[in-house]
Amino acid sequence: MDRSGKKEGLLEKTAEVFDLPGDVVAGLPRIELTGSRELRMENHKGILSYGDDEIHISGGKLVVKVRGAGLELKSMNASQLLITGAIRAVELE
Amino acid sequence: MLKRLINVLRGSVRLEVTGAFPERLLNLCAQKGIQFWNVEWLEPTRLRLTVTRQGSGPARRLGEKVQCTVTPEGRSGVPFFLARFRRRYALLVGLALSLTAVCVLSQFILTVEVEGNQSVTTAEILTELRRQGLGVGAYGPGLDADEVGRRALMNLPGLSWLSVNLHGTRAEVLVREAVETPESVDGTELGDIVARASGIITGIDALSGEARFAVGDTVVEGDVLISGSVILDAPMYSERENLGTMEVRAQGQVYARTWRTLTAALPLEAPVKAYTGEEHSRWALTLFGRRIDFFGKSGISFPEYDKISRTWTLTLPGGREMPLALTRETCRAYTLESAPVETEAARALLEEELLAALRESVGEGEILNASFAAAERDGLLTVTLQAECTEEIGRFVPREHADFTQENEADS
Repeated sequence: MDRSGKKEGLLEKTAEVFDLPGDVVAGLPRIELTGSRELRMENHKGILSYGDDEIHISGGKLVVKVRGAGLELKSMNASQLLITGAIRAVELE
Repeated sequence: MLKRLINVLRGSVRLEVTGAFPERLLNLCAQKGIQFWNVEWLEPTRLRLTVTRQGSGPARRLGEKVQCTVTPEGRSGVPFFLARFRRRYALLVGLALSLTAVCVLSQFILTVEVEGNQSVTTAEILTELRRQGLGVGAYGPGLDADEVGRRALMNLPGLSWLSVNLHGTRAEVLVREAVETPESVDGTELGDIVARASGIITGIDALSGEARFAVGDTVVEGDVLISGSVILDAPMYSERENLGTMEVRAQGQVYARTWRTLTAALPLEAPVKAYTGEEHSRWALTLFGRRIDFFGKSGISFPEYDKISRTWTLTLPGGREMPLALTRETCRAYTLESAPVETEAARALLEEELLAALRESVGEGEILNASFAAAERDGLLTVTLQAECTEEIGRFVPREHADFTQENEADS
């Protein structure tokens, strides 16, 4: 676990040094927000909790917390998910 | 909208997941590629989601893995709707029979429409087409439309063009009528103009040939009025009396005043029908032009009867008739009884008929005056018409071939 964490960190730094896309090279989560109604996330690691006002998504090293009202998990597969609703905040932890 | 339509077509199942960590099921479904949507988080330990019909089973098995209870809450979509009929065997058999009937019946001709005819009747054309194999109930794929059209056209001299187009169960027959050829006079045929009735000549126009009578002469039926044998006069100072005769086709009109007498008779007693009140009805079904009698070979026991037929044809709302008809034949027995005929009515009838016969014989001529005389004798009413007319009495009568030699003599 520790070795894999180190490897991820190395890939992350390599991507940064060589100016390569981190989501492709290191598999880092990529979040795309369209206005305040739609949030698309790639390379997620699963849903941690779900509710109308708050959805927590695992991004590997970090947890993405989406806050808002009337949030809905529109679609989800192994690599990406789509959340719709009135999004007020996206917080990383 | 498109996605919703696809979901309706492939079917979806609403699942309720209850467990300590229901979000694990969502993550597993996402990893396994099970599509889900419309996630509704009811409580921290309970959620609802919708999956496809195919994904329902795997999602339930995954639920067991993550120690969640997965229960289906509802099913919707076309596959579930159709599955309701899975055990309704009669419906399925009916559906299969209906489809078979549609597939089989659509191979047969149900209607034949004829367009473009005016003087040649539709019935004539349909009868000829039926003779050539194209009729209601004919097997469409077995028909050679071009060949049928060609053969029918050969037997219908009133048509110049005919085309048969098959549109599924409908046969469209387009026709063009032949232009009537004008009546031609055979100039090589020699002959005379002969009187077809006796009378006094009031006018004579000989266009070809030699007039034998003049205005005011009396002629009898059969007299040669304009002769086809023309006597050629000899030149002046010639020793010969004439140069012989030249045979031509006599042409011209001869008008005469004629007197005609026509007679007609009618019995003063006529047989009339007296219905006995006995009736017998028989039914028949006509399907694809084939008649099925429901009365077998049973005969009618009445010696004399009237047959009244009534047919009910299956008609679509647009007015198109289907090849299915039910016929009722009612036979009403009667006996013949003799009844007196009203004299005045009989006389009026005979006078009318005589006048019609006179008009027909006079043709384009004129009836100057007509008088009727009636007499009753031996149970017969006899009416005599006497009329004075002016009419064209000339009639062309061809000569015998033996007379042709005279023409050669005249030429020499």
